[in-house]
Amino acid sequence: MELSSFFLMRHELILLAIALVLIIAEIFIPKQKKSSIVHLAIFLFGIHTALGFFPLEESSLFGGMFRTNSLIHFFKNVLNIGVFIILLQSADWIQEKIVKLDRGTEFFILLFFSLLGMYFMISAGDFLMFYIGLELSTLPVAALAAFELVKRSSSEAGIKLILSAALASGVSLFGISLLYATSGSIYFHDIIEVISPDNLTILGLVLFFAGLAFKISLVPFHFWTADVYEGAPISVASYLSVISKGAAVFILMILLFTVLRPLMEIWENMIYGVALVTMFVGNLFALRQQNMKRFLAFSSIAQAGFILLGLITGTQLGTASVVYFVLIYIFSNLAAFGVVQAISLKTGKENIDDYNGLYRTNPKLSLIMLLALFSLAGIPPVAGFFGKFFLYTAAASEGYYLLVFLAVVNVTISLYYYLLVVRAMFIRTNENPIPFFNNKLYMRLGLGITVVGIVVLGLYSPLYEYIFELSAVFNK
Amino acid sequence: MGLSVLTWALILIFMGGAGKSAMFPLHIWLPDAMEGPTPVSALIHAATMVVAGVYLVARLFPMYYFVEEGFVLNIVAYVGAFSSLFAAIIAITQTDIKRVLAFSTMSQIGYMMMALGVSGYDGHEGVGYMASMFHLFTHAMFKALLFLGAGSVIHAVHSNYLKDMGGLRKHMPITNITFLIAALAIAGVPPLAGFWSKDEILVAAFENNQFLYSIGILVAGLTAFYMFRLYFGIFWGKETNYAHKPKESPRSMTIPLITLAIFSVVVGFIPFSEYVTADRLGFVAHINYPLAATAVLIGLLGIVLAWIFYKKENDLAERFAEAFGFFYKWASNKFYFDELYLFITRKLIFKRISAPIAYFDKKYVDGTMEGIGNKTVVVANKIKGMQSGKVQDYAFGFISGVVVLAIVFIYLWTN
Amino acid sequence: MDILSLFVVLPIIVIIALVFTNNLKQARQIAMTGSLIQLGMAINLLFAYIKEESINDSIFVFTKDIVWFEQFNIHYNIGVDGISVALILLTSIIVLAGVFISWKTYDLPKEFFISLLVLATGVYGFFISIDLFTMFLFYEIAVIPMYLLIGIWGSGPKEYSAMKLTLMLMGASALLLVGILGIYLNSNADGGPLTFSILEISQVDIPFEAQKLFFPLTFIGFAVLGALFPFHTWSPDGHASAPTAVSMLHAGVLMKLGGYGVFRVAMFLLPEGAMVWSWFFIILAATGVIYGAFAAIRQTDLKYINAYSSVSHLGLVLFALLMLNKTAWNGAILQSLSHGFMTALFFALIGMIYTRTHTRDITKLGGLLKVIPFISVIYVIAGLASLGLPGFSGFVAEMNIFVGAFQNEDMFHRVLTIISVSAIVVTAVYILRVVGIMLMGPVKNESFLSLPQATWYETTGVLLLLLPIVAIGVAPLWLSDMILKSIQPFLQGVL
Repeated sequence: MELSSFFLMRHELILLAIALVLIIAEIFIPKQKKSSIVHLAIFLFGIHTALGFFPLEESSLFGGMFRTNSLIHFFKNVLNIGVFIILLQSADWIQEKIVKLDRGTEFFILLFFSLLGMYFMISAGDFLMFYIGLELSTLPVAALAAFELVKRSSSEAGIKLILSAALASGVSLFGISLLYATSGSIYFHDIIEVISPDNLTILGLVLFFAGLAFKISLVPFHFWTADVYEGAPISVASYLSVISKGAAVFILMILLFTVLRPLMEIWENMIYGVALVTMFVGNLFALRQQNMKRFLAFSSIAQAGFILLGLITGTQLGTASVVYFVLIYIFSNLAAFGVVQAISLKTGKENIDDYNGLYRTNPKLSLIMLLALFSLAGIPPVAGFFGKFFLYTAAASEGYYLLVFLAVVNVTISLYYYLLVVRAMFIRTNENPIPFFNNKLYMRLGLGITVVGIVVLGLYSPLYEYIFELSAVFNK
Repeated sequence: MGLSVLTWALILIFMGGAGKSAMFPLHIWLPDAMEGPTPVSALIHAATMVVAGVYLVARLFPMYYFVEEGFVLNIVAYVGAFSSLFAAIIAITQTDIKRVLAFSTMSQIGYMMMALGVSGYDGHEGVGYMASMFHLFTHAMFKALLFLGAGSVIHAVHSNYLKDMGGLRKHMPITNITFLIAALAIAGVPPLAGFWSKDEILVAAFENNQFLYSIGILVAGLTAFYMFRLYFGIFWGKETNYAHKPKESPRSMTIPLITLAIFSVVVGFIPFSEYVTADRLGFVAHINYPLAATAVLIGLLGIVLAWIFYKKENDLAERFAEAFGFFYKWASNKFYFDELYLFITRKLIFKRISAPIAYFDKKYVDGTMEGIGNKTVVVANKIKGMQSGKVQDYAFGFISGVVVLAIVFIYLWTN
Repeated sequence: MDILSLFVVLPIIVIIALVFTNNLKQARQIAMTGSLIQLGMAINLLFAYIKEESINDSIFVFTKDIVWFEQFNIHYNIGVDGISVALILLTSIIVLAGVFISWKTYDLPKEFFISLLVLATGVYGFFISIDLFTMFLFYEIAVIPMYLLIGIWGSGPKEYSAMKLTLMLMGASALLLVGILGIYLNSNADGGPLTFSILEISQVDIPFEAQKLFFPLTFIGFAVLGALFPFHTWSPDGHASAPTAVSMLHAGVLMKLGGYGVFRVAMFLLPEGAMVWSWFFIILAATGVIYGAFAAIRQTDLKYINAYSSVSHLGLVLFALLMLNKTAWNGAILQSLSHGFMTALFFALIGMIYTRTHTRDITKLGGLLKVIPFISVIYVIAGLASLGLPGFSGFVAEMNIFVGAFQNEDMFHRVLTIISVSAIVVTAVYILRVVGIMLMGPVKNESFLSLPQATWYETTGVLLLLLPIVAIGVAPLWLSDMILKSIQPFLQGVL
């Protein structure tokens, strides 16, 4: 094995290097200048994100444990962009709240290690690597969820997450071992040769699926979501809702479309049911929420249900639509979380009622929120519309008209609660509204990027064409 | 119903015309529309607009005549005759002078319709058609004159009601004379205009349908009677105590009266039959002396009766009204047609159709749409308990999910 | 920039300009200028179309085709025929009138005009699109600003009405979306590629089973916006709460999208489906016609009266479209136009009356003819036009519809035609009832004696709308010729 082949792990290595640099910097930077570590982290991660766009060849390492190809590479870039936005949006929060506690560096290191886990997870070529990646991505997040030690709800969130995650990954591991038991290998390319829909394999599939469904927060594996989102710091919640979920969707899709394709008859029906339940439950719960974070939690559950519309297809079109949708979803959801973050940081207010009359005091923030919600709801001309439309098309092209119809019915329900927020911001008035405030540079940048993304990603069609071409790799 | 589409079409067109021309039972609008200012009534309702229905049928006359051998024409004739009689009876009982004129209009238009209905097509056969148009023409003159005269009277006494009038001939000589001319004309007294056209109508009816002819004659008598009841009531009889002493209207009002009076006298001499006929060829009309004499006599009889009843103060009229009590009450209430219509619109359409529809719309159609929305919220509330906040419940949910999926796909699916 | 894309681009430019305004004065001037230019463009388009159409035989002219999403064969594909040209003209007039009527929007003026123009952009885009995807996209763009427009600037239970309207229309688009996807995914029945292009799909024989399945979805999806019974209930509440200009645009333009979409998509692309289903939807449409008219009689709120009247009149559009013949279709398009102008005019007048008297309850109004004669007289004219008096546009449209409808020789069509015709009488009842109660009679409230007369901007707005009503009524032939020519290719699909 040549040294140069390590460059296939460029993402992982650079991220690891950044984490190490931060650890060293933590030691050498004097205490009163700790806030500069935020700049450093953002700067380094920015470079990392930019470097990620250099092309990478398709290959595998360690005898097939680690593999990469153009789509995986692209998806890592997508995750990078998402994390970068999260960093920008949380910079103020870290500087104002966390650095004081002398825990700023830890935040970045934990976040980066979790991201590293995701890299490995989606690059996995066998179930072992996959499992390691899964664990590495989950555990730091639990620590992050409990990051605001002063808040009890934050600790609660951490505990809930770690307990639920332990259960999920245990179940998942059990599933993997069953698959191993029936196929005799943990390597994907071996399993695909021998797998067949017998009972034990199906059980393995179900258990394995449950583990990932937990991360994607599909119903009924979603219960942790709302509590954790509500208790955890907003940056962590947004990380969980987009990055963690996105990576899990991606690897689930890869596994279903490649390794588990012989079981397609089973999993397409499984996904059909889970998709419906997820959409309906997510939406119905979201209807009643008052807290913005819980609200977004259930909304993100419902969105996960929509993503399954693409997964059910098993086609190149489905792959492309899912990746495209996840990309758009990252921008939309981060825009929403960003606004919540900004307001929460300045005023500590997180309830929908607190947003009454927001437009009259903070028009820009309201408009960003409006765009984000419209994008989540799938209203043209913002990107969410295109993402959803292509998902529907993918599902319908496989004949799932009824599912598409029910999904669109769900969009109508979701539109109701998204409009509730719009109503609060634009229509209602408030006796003591959230006062006008200016955001700092990082937050502005963080929000600005999301807005550009929401507006441009849909209208700019070459992007989709590009993703579609990349998607060919898993649908040969 | 065994009729061709064309027949139906003609019937429907006639119904349209009947509505416009206030034929029974679509007549109720006409008396009420007389609430408008007198010149408007005169111009639009009496002379021109209402006859549009007659004109419509006349214009389509060849179709009416040739389709199904004039089946629809019979309908036209009977509807016309009945309306004519019906309106004449009501007119006798009305006390509002404009309403009397309004029903008189309806009656005369019924005459025209009847004439069309009994008409033939070729040459002299088409006398009914010619007579109808002729009467339409002459009627316009004296009816407008009557309305304007009534307007002049109302202007002088500030009331529409006969009881507020009487003895005006001394105060309003011009109005008196012109009104008299018009009344004579409509009563069919020669040589005024009405005589000529009415005579032709009766000739046509006589030649085609004796029964309709008898109705025509009866109506002619009634017409003369109620018209002179009106005339004597206004210009003769006992002088009422007027709040303001009535005086002749200004020249701007009398000149039109005089002009129309002249026309009412002369237009009957126009040889109408040479210009306007069903087959457009023209013929020379002759007076059928026996028929003309009968008509004139009947007319004069009506006038005389009116003279007896109304010229001098007496209670003959009241006694007759009492004698015919029930019938009189019906007639003076226009046979309760207004009430019937009001019942249909207010009670049936508004209350029984519109209101339920509006209610149904709000309650059920809208309610269904609302219900879908509300049910969603209710369900959302119901399932709220699923999210208890306890990790052990979450774990239970998780495991249940796994178990359900496993059972479904292992046992139910694969078997 | 081609002549059609400008219709979408110009509102966007105006919107951007509006963002930089600071007060009502600037905002309304920019909005007015923009709408004026748009009207100019629409008139120019009309003449250009008439010229072009004489030398160009294609169904759509001024077409432009840019590939957008290659993978799905989604194109930015635009073009117009006589029908869309007429509707674009309608839109531009109503938008301009709407701007005039909203001259005194004090609360968030800039946002108001921006939302209004977003709506207009969607409508223009919808009318010029001949690609199903872009059509759907613009359809939703046109619908969604209604939420803010009613919610922010509305009155009464505005939050409720806005939400109801938005959700019902968006719910309808769920059906529509499935319908469109169904059409799209069956557009390769002849072995060609999948396509969203209306022209290309119309050449394809979509399998009968698919037509049967997707026609009702597409039809209802569009027709809900056209207030199809029993999916019309968003409309009365929506109108009642909406500010004047929004009611105008909504009833005048937005609801036309429904009929237009039915015609362009459901009927044109799924003709066999239309044959199978027409009986069912004819019953619904006829019910709507008569039902809306009767419901209108009982209302006391002017806006509700007009909203139900719209249900009735637009039911007639759908009714005529389902009659599947040339005359009726011509009538349907004419009715769309005519109703657009009339109802916008009504809402403008209602708004003017409301701003003066602060009530829309006709039982509280009376004798307005003596107090505000100009507004009252125009109201009477609008009413007469609405009940189909010859000389106004409504007559031309309804005449065509019923003549066309009666050309179907079977009992079913004829009976329903007769039922629908009788709605005209009911229309007269509710129109004259309002005129009688509100405009005639004694002045019921002394404070009404000093009501101000119509201002110049109101007068301008009102006359802008009145002009086409009379113009179409007096000289309908040039318009109906244009429409008839455009109907021809669609007819071939059906017969």
